[in-house]
Amino acid sequence: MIAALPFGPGALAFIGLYLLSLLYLGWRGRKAQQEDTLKDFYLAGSGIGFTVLVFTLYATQYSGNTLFGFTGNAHKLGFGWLVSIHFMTAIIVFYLLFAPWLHRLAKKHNFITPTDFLTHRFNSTPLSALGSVVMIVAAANYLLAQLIAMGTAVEVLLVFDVTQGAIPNDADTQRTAHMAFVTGVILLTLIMLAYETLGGFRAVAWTDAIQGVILMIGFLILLGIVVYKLGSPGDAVAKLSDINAKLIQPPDAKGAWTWLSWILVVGIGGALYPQAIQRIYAANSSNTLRKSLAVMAFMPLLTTLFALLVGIIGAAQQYDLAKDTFILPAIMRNIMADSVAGYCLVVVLVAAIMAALMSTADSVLLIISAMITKDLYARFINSDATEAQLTRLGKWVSLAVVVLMAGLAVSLYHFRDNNILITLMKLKFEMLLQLAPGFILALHWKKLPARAVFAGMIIGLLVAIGLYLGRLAEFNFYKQTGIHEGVWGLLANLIVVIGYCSLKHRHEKH
Amino acid sequence: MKPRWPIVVTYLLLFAIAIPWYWKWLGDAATQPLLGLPRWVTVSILASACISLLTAWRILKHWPKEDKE
Repeated sequence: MIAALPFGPGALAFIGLYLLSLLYLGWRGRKAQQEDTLKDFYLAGSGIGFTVLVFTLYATQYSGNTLFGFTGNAHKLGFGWLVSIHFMTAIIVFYLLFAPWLHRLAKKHNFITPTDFLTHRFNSTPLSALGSVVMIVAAANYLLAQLIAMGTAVEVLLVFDVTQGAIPNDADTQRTAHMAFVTGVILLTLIMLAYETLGGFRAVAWTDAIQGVILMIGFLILLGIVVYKLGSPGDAVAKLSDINAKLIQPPDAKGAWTWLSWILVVGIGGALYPQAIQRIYAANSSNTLRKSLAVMAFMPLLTTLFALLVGIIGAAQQYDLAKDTFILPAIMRNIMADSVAGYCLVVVLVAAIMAALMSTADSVLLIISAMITKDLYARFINSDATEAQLTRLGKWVSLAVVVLMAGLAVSLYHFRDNNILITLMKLKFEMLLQLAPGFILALHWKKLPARAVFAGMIIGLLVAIGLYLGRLAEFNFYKQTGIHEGVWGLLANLIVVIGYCSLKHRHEKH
Repeated sequence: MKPRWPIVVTYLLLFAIAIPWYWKWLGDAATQPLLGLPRWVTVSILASACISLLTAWRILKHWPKEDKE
């Protein structure tokens, strides 16, 4: 396999050193541990400060999908993928509707998991259990996507052949590719698990800070060298207007509705990521959260826009690619073959790709572990368990979840399709969207009853998942209407909530 | 951070500008270059920048101070 590697010993040493630094931070996180409690393990005790919070929010929000999926989508859809900037901005706009109040309540009542808020607000076991299950399934869905992306990233970076625009089809290369995928999943998962088990949220947030810095530098480098080597976005637009004009055209009427749908789905769903809610809790003060969110409002312009422009410039190069997501490796191979400086920059980019993947996966893994341990085990199985026992169990849960998910990722190797990252990402949003009344409405509508939220969530989930599964039976409601299934689900959800409340109000009046 | 209608209307207006639904009535103007990009793209990115500025301003200036349960 080493013979196939496009990187020399210096590059491998740099990447190895970077991965070791993550383990070191995990060990430091363990040293900084103040007590053996869930709050210390899952929220770093009294919380984290401004710099670490900004970078952990950034590194968690922008995943490997931003690098591979977004550049790939821009390569395929052209400026039609400009919607990605708007939906990433919308996440911060939707935070305005609930983050300040949720943070205060979390500090006052010592919330650990997102479900703690539901329990505090509604005191309803069925609603809390349903909320936990929805968030655990959505997060597990996301974790699986990240693990597959880890393996795919290592595979593509090692064996992608730019002259063929694909991974070569001969038996030897296919074997190497498979081995690279499995090695990528297992190695990166082990490192992630090690630092997370050692230092909990503290280690995850600290490594996120390092990963966030590398990711940000990676995006800057990427756009800089792409413009330097392949020309400006203006040059690409001029070229595309001759060779593929539809990539620079605005969307039609149905496409505009789809943009609105994307903004709602990712804007609300992304704001309600359980790992994002965990970070709202973990801010050491309201002021820290306030300043961090203000900075995050500008990140789409520095990250998503860059990914879009790279994809557009790549599209103008007319690479003959087997998959659109190969555009980034194609550009990287092109740059690294050109000069020593280009080679060095690509090595930093590889570290950025690993940072993007691991920083998102570790956060998702930690919140799954927290929810299973606190919301399910401590609530329904052993309510007498001590904090130390639960913390120890949480580490075992992390191990079990990651073994299961990594095993699934490895066994899915031969069943991947072109859009697996995007498809997996979509399903979690369809589900998370149905939590909106329980979190956002509930903070502002004092009389909102648990039963209305529970009934709305059930109906919303049935509509969203039912319609989504229709895609498998050639009934693609999204393609027919241009609106995501989750938005239809949320609409049904809200109708039930409002209908229930007005019926209850009328009944009480009589 | 109570919902203030002028702010809500400004957000709706900015998102309405950012989503390029209206360019079909403006013919070729949509793809004419503006700052090196198609005009509709530049307008949409500028609208996004305004949304970011408005959001940051709102967060920094109107972060709620009272508890609300």
